[in-house]
Amino acid sequence: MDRPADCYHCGEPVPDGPAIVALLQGVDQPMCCVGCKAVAEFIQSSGLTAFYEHRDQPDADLNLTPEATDWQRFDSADLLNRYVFADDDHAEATIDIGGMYCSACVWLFDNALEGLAGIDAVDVNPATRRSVVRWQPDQLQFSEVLAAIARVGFKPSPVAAGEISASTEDEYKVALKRLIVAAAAGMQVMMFAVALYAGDYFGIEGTIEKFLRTISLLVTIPIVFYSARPFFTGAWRGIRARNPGMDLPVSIAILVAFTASTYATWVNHGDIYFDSVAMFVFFLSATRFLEMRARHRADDHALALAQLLPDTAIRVTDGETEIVLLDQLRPGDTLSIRPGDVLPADGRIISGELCLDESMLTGESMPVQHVSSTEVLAGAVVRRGNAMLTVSRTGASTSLAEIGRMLDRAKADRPPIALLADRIASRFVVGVLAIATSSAIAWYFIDPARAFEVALATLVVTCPCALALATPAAIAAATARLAKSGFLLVRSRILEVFNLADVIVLDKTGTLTEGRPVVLKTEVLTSDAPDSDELLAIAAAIETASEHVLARGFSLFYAPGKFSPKDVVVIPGHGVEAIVDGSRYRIGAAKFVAGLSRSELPTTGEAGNTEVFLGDERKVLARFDVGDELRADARTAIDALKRSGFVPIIASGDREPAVRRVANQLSIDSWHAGLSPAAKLDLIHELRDQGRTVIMVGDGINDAPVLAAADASIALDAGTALARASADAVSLGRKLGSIVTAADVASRTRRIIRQNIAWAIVYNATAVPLAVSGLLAPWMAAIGMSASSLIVVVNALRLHRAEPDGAGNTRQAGSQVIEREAIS
Amino acid sequence: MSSDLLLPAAFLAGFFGGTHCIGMCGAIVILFEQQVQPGLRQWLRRLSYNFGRLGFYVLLGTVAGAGGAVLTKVAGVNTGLLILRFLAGFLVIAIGLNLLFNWSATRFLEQAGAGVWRRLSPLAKHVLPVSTPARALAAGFLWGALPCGLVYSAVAMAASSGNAQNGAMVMLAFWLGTMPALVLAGASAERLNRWRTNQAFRRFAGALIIIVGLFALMPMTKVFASSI
Repeated sequence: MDRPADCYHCGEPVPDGPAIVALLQGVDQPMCCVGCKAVAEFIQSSGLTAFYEHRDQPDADLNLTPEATDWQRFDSADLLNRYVFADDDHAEATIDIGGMYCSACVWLFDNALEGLAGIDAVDVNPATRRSVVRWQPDQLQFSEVLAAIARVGFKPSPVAAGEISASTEDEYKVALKRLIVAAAAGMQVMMFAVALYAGDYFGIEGTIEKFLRTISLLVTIPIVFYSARPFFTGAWRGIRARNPGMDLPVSIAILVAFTASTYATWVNHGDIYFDSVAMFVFFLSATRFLEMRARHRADDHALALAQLLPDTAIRVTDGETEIVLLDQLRPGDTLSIRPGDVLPADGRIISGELCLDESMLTGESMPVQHVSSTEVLAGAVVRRGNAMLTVSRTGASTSLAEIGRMLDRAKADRPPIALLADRIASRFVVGVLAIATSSAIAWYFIDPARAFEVALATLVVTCPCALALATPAAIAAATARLAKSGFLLVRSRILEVFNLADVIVLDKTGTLTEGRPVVLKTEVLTSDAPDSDELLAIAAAIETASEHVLARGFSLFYAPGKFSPKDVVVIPGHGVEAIVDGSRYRIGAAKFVAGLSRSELPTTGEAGNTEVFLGDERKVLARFDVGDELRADARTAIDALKRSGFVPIIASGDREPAVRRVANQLSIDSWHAGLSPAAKLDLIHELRDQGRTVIMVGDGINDAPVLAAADASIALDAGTALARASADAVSLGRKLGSIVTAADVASRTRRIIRQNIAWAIVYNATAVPLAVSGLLAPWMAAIGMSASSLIVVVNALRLHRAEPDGAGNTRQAGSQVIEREAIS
Repeated sequence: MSSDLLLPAAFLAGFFGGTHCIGMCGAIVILFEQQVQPGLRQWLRRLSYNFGRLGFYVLLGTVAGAGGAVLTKVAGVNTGLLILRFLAGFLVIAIGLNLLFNWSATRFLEQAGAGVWRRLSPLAKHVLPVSTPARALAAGFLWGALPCGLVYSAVAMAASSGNAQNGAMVMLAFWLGTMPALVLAGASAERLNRWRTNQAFRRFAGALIIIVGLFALMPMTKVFASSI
């Protein structure tokens, strides 16, 4: 053929005969027909010739699942830093799994990944559609993990800690659309159904009846094939995984009712159930929608965390400032921080002071003052102050990212009770199908005309949706509730242990106490000395030179610029000597300080604290009692725990006097001092051998083996070392009260799970006989089943509400206010 | 009379001929959508275009049906219908031949239609961008006026339907037939294009359309026989 080309516009062959051409941008282009020529010229006259350039590219934007090659971009250093947390020999990433509906999907997912060499652990939660995958980076690339997930038909999207997951948004929009379609079309179907029912009573003309039935059929089509599609997808996955979920009976009910009604419409004879189908799909979609909202609400804290970080930071290099993207920050960079900023990375203050609101990180509502050379964390909001910061950790290594990962891990972790519920629900599905089939057979002999209707009602009403939702919904709500008050569940089994435990073993230093020395008491030893504040300020000024751990106890009293010590000499093991305002001072041990004035040794105070003396060349001026202070709310927290029936036990490695003093202050009868880590371990084993259930509270780093030995463990204020904490839960604040809150939420969670399961069982036990005996019409079954699921979800959502009383209550209210300020 | 056979014939003509629409009119959809935000209302817009198109078709069908009725009055029922029905049948067959042998038999009609389009196309600039459903409706109406042999063959069927009402119904059936192709238009053009320009597929569609044309002619053989 001598035709030069296909039609420039539509791509079809140009027919024989006189050529048609269109002058487009000065070039004659061949056209197959006058229509194409008209469209092409119209496109040109509208100034939209760019259309022809764009259409030649494959529809990259329409193809939502990237091809395998596209995953490789996730192996680039920037994206790895953003999405993957790596330590020596492990890598870990949080991945949202689009298209996951049920526990069967989890099975499919697990199988797909565990077949890969180099995968260490896979945690998935079908309720949150989020997985935490750990693998060995030397054996497996991140892209291979993602590709493996995509291969089994899911849509993986890696979640950077600090980023709203796109699939959450998508999921919400799509679910809303499906719901709206089901509602709008369902309303129409209901109207026709009412007309038809009325027609049954008052008589209706045959053609009008046929018309109404046909229209009902047409309007039901989008409900079945659009709104109800998630149920079919879920059912199909269940069949593929040989682990049928609750979607299977739902799908069968919808399809059977729809097919039978379509046939009835076609032959113009028999009952139609379009109204039941419409209602069933609508109510069930509404329940799923609410459940999804609940899940997303559980994500809110993580999302709020994610939104915390700014997009850019101000980097200072050799005196030059530049604005850089967060991804470009590297450890060692120097950043300029101003009031109102959100810290973009973890780092150390090198100059200046910052007053930081860390409520999102710790649940602590009061701003905290940070001075030079202290560590500060990404995500903290600067209330006051300017500072220069040296970056220590960025991206996925920050504490903020670690908190996000912990939340993810908690959500991906399913406690035994949830696994049990999954298993029961799966067996139940088989039972439902059996019951529906047998009732169909039985009714075929009793009254064949009603057999179909009864079987349909049975199938719908017995669907164990409520049972399957009972536990995950409650645990998701509890996790979200606790995260908000700074208590992160790493493994949600701790919620169950809280309800069984009778003993709480607490470490002293850093747990019951602040874990850092402070000046508890100042005693002025001479009558002609300056007042105690003045002396403290002098002492603090001199101690800034010292690296000694006790010296840090004075940092609170340091007033920059007031005193400037000169000729500072640090004598290790003794103290510091310096000249302040022309006078020579010594601070430190009694002998060293008394040596300056050659006076006799000063008196000592009560036991349990360390004493630091200050003296000049004339005499010893003051004694400072430096010790580890009790946490502000230790007393109320311990009292509350005792009231809840826990026996508190102190297990400390510290000296006996210090431990005894703390035990007395807190009225704790059982305490052990001077314990080595091994002895602490023995203590835990001994308690467990006595049949006690033990929760261990420690700092999570020094006593990791002890934490692991207990039934459940809580790491307190692990601060910058979160990643190494090996506990079941981490309390981020500087208060013990969150443990009381957690105990309270745990007991409420158990109550709600029990209520939910009890309700689900009672519902099914009543509904099944009613349906089997033919007392329920399919539409009643649709309402009953949907309502029972709705009740379960709404009941779980009650956990979000603040508890009526308890230590955590006021704190919670306070931190919520701060959180809102931080977000807005 | 046999206007009941005309309806499926018009539907099938639209259905099989509609593959051409994807190539030609898919561009229109993409063009319309280029300047507006995609989102929740996309399906509403797409629906509106097509209802606008239906509006124009129904208008054509009504006019053609009424015109046909007048002709039958003037020329006598049998003769008038005979002429119109043969015209319609041959037009449909011409479309099929177009696909089957790559030969444009309906071009002269399209040329005439292009004249109409030239008058109407300036109006299109008033409805772009398609930001509201009302504008989408108007855009769809104008879209219906694009010169297209397939539409004219359907109009011929409408003319042979006996009266204005039947003419409108024929065009409705034709419109329904084109819907699957046009719903797909703009959705995933890449894959469709490969399929659409495939020779074997074109031949298959062409053959089917010719059968539809014969189908439309069939009742007339009876009329023809009885009138002889």
